[in-house]
Amino acid sequence: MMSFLAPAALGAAVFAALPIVIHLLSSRAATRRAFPALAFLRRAHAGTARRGRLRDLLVLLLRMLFILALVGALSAPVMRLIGGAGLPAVVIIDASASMQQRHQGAALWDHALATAARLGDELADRPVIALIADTPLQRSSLVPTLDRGAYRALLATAKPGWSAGANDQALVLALGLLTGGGDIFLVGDGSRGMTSGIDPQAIPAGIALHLVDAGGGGDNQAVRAIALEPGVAVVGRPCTVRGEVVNHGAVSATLGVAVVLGDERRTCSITIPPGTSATVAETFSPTRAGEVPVSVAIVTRDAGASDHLVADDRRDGAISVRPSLPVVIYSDADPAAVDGPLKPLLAGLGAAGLSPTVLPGAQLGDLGPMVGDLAVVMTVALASPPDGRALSAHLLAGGALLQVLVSDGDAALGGALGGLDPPLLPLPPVDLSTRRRGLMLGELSLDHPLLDGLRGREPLLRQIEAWRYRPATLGTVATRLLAWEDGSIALAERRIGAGRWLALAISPADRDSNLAALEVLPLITARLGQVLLPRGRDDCALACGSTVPSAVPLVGADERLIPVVDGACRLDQPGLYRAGERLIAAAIPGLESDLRQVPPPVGGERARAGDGSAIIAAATPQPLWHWLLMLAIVALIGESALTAFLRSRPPGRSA
Amino acid sequence: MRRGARAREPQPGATLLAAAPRLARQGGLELTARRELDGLYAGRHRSAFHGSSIDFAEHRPYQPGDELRTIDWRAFARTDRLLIRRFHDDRQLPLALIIDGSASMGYGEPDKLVAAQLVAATLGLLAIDQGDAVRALVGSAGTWSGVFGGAQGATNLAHLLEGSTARGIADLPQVLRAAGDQLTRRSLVVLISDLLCDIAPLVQPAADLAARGHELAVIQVLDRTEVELPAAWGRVTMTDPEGAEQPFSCDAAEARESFAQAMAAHIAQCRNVCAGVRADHVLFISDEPVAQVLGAWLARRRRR
Repeated sequence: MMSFLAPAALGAAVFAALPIVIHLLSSRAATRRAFPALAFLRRAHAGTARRGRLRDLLVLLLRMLFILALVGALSAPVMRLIGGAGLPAVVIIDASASMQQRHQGAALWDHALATAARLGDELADRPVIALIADTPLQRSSLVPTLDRGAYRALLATAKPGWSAGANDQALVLALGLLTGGGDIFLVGDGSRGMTSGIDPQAIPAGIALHLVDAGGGGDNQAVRAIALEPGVAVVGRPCTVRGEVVNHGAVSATLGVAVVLGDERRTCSITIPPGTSATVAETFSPTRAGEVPVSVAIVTRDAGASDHLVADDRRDGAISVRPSLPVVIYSDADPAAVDGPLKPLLAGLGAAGLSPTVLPGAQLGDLGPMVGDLAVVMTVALASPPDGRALSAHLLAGGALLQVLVSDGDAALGGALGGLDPPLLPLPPVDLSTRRRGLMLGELSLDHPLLDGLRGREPLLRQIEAWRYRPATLGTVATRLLAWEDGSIALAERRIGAGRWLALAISPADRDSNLAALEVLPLITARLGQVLLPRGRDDCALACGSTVPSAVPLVGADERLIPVVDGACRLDQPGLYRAGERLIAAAIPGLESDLRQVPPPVGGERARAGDGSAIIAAATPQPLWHWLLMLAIVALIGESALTAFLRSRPPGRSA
Repeated sequence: MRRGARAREPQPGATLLAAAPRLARQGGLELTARRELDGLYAGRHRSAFHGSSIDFAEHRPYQPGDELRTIDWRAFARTDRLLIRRFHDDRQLPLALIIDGSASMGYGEPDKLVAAQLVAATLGLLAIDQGDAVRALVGSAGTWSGVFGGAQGATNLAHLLEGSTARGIADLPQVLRAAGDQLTRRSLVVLISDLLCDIAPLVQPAADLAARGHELAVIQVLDRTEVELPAAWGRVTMTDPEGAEQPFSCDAAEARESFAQAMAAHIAQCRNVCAGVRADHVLFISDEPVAQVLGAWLARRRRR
């Protein structure tokens, strides 16, 4: 916005009409002659006359420009990049407790007051009101005014508070005072808390919000986001707490960061280059159910990093830890039979801390309310082929199924699972009556987490004999985890939709009990709780921050490709991203955070960039008279050169 | 008293007559005909007829009825054949003066009409002095005056010329067509005009005149400023005295060169058109001596 320090001088702009008046007068004074050869003169001279008129017009414009530029320079115009002359402005001073910290030898509060005083002086031609954002709000006057007495008086007497401040309330009041438009200058420490509760999108058009960093925060490190992986915590199951720590400072910072889940606390040390962020991650196994506090906090700093804000030092949250993973076993076998198939399964689950519910196989057609989205369903020793449609839906929705192959009903379950594509093949019985021994486990690769408990027990595994229900092949639909010597499947896994299916063909039966298998089965089922995770939660890495390290480009849910730059992908919105075969659940700080923040391009980041001098400079009138004077000189030189050129041409020579 | 006063009053046409140079008194200058004439009255210009002049024309075999005094006896003695000597018959050269009296002729100092009157009077005087008949058409009336000749003819011609004024628009093609229709004898038609008009429409009437045996001469009278635009005029707004053009403003110094070129081209076009119909073209700048310009023209005619 442009204004004039000497607007009276603008009256001299009427002299710009002087060349026009002279031109008109000289035109009227032109000799009027009768001339019979007028037609020839017109034909011969029309083109030349047009060019002459253009030259005259150019000279006229140059003369007018000279006068206008001269008058403009005399009127001392000034330019403000922020606001315009006459528009009111509100200066809000953050009075939160963090303003009491010291920065460069003085309290931030003093810096803020000095900055507000500068703003009041720079906005000399605009009505201004000061608001101290504390509880209750203090204001210098009822409405913005040109009188700076009350403004300075309020700045002289204001004190910082001990609360989180009331910037949001001050902003609401400011918006009410600026119904006709204007500028709001929020003077604070540039911290995240400075803009707490402020939604820049809610600021109406015509009102500009300027964040003025009075100091502090520039050397700040902060915990910007916390996240939990997976999103659901279960007692006894590992979960990872991640926290993104950002270094706003100009130098590299080495920080001690504490990651807390419930009563357990881990501390790590990270070094963060200036202007970047890093993620800390610690894995916990909750030991009790219920609300558990989660936090990531900066606990130690370099000696020189004294400029931080306590409010930025930690992020807190809470997670509701579920008591256990629900396991429902559908079986027609006798749970009390010592040599039955249920006994080793129950033993293994019990050792893992899980309390399974055993239901008759006939109820498998209607899973019932006990089978939620986190439940693991087990089938074993089914008496008859069940209706598998409900189980199919459970699998497709992300549930888990452990199918233990013991009976004909178990073997037929694969074909009964309607809605699966491709359907699980029914497992044909294998008659081992002629060869009851000698077919042992052939592949003993124990890489799968489910088989972690079998490591070091390979001799035991080799004692297990094959049972009659063994799928020869599952093609590409399943992954073979354990196989018998002839290649038939002993343990297979298949992903179905978001769910997972496990088929186990090493379980003993009442007729073919096997001591080795009885020992192995608890070891496998004891891992079920850690392997069969709730829907969609497994195999996802939770990334904190807008920059996610990745070697491959990420693909968003809308198939948008996020390129890799310097080994990382920069995300602008949270969500699920595909990184090759891996899923990344990205949480963007500020959007996922419990704290709504001003997006960096509008507020916070810019405010952190300096001490507010850039914003004050934009509000400060910038003189333009020297530019106009230069323009006048250029116009004068141009006019003189053009006139001299025209005079130098011999009379009568056409242009 | 009245008699004395009447005696001091200038005779009508006397001023013009006094100003008009008597070219006939300058050695060798005369108005000559380049074509054979067909006038009724004897004069000093060769005609298409045979008559009693001293200019031998041809021999013709004697035929019964011929006067014996016309027999060339010397030829008879040499050839033993009776031959008749025939001589050219000299007739008057009818001079038809057409003076453009349009408003544009009133331009100049002195105005072009005065210069045209002087030219016409000079030529008329010369013709009358030679014993030729003169008639004149002034302005755009399209009506010829009576024939001027004899002792009083010059005075009457001057009186007629002096009475003309510059006004209106001249339709020169129509005037030439009317001249062709009304002139019954082969004449020397002299058009005195500034020709500041479209010259193309004049071609056909001029050609018609030539086809009827008339001889056409065009004396283009221009003011000096119509050839060289004075730079001293500066910025000037021009108006057309005949009202056919809209006013036009320009800087005379700037327009000077282009205007001179345009006028030179126009004069050249007039000259070419005249040459096309075997007509003389004389450019007469009004401040030049009439006798010099006309003398040069007459000398050229005589040489041809």
